[in-house]
Amino acid sequence: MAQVPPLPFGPAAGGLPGVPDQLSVETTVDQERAIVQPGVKSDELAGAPELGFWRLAVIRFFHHRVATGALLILGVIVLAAVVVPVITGNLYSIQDYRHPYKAPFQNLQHILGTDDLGRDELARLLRGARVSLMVGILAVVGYLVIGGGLGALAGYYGGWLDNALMRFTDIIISMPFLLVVIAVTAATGGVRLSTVIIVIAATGWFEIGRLMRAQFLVLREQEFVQAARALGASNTRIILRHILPNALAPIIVSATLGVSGIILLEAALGFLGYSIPPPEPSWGNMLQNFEEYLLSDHTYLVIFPATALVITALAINLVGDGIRDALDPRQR
Amino acid sequence: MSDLLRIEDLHTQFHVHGGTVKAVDGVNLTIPAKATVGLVGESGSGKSITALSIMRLLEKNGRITQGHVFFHGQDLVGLPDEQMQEIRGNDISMIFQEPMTALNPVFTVGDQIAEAVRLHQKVDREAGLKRAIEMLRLVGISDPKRRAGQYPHELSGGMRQRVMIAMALSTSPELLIADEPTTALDVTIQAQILKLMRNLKGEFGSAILLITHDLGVVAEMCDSVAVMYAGRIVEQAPTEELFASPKHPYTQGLLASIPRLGKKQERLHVITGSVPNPLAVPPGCAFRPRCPIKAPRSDRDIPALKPNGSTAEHLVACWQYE
Repeated sequence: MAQVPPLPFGPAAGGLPGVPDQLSVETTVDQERAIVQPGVKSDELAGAPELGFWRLAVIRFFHHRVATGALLILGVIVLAAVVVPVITGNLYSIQDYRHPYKAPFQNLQHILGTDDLGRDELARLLRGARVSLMVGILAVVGYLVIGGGLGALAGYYGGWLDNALMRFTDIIISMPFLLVVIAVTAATGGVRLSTVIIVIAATGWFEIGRLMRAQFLVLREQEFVQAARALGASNTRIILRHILPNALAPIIVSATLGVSGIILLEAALGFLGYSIPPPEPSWGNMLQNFEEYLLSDHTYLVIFPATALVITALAINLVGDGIRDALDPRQR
Repeated sequence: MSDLLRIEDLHTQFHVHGGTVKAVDGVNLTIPAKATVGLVGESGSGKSITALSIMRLLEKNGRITQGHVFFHGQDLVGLPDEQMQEIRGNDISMIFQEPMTALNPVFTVGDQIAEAVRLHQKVDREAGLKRAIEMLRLVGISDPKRRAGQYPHELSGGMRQRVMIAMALSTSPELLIADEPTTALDVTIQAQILKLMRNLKGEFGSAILLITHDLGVVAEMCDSVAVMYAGRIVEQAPTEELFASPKHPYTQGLLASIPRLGKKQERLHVITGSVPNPLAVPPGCAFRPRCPIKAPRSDRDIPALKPNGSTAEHLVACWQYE
């Protein structure tokens, strides 16, 4: 049996309790924490569970009050968007010509009033939230798949593949987004939500792609990657298990911020009439007649969808900032 | 004596901006089974590149241009990548200089050792983790069960190097290549790690190729030593023989530059000059510009590594013995 004899200076020699022993080979974070926080006994900390990177990040996130609040608001919006339309059914599309432009906060039947066709504004807002959130999430998944995949390949393999993929990225960046949307809509015969999602994903992935490439360029030179290769790990395994988890932090931040960007983009498209077609509401197409409303008594028809849009985008951005701070505490 | 690894006339070159660097330029080296062989030389002499060439882990701009690496009689040069992957970590393992960065920061050390096992053995997660804990105990880490659940940043440098050793030995490889395993550690920890490696060698029966620039480490660990200079091995001998009667002027200079206890010295011995520019190695013996002897012929022809010393096992590449 090969056992290293206990060190004369180690904890076994009976050093003062709670005093970190600098000569011990087992000076760990526990003991370092004890140095930083002299008021806390080290054996209290020694009993604490070992915290991984991600769990520490979660703890840091919830110490960030603004981000936690934003997450709460976002949670309420998502929950309402998912649950309420199920209960209210097709309320959002029921027209009531006798009661158009009903002012908000007047009766319980239509809390936020009704629109030009007498449809319930609140039901429409929540239904529209579904559209916005769905577009945001699905398009970001597209970003991650396309951008993440191509970026990882370019960064890991380098050489001609990297060159080819980066030039392809340059082409994508140079595309006029609106013209692509209009052209694709025309070519596929009409406005469809799926078209919108696909076009946004196909033209917007480059930021995450470049970020991922940069991460892989740095990480593939790390010694632990070399060590993994020396252990007989394959390229696929090195990419997926050794590099990807280490590359995720900035990608998650970028993806989160990407969701809010896409939601705003979809609203702009909806406003121009290139997103989901009526009678299905989206926050964008609810704003379609905003000049008219702003000049009338019905400003609430502009204020509600616009506010919903701003609050949602702001909440997502604040959550994204919180995640960034949580993943990289040095940035604060 | 059966040879585990036999390197024959190995040449490794790198294409860099400005030309071709012959990092390894005709190395011959034999590692017998269960032996510890030291490979010493200064920075840039080609020690690490020799190791990486054996493992076939060269950067993209590096290439083995000539020679063979026979492992159990099978030439690793030109072996398909899949087969090489099988050998890496299973038959030949490697530990690196920097224990601080050679572990993946996002996984627990237990997970990482278990992965090393599971890459080569068909065992489930549970069994892999059990083996990991067993290995942590073997490398002298107390409370291995708890340590297995910790992340690299929670361990000290010495402990991380123990983890690296545990990882490298978890598959009981026949050859362990240790590239400056103790350079990044302080002296007390260094001694512990070296002792651990000696003990484990007995336990696992692995041969070790120990790459270092520290002659003290060599004296303590190795059965035989090869001295490298500018991509070539200039002298090779059993450790005691080399320290007692170095033959090559470079080796003599190295040994003379070690400070000795009890000997009053005004200044330490130095080898004048510096290592030749790898892009413009002089013709003939690469050491000639710094050599106090400058034997005839050394300005034109490269001397071969031959048994010119006192025993058949003592090889030296120098024209002065011709």
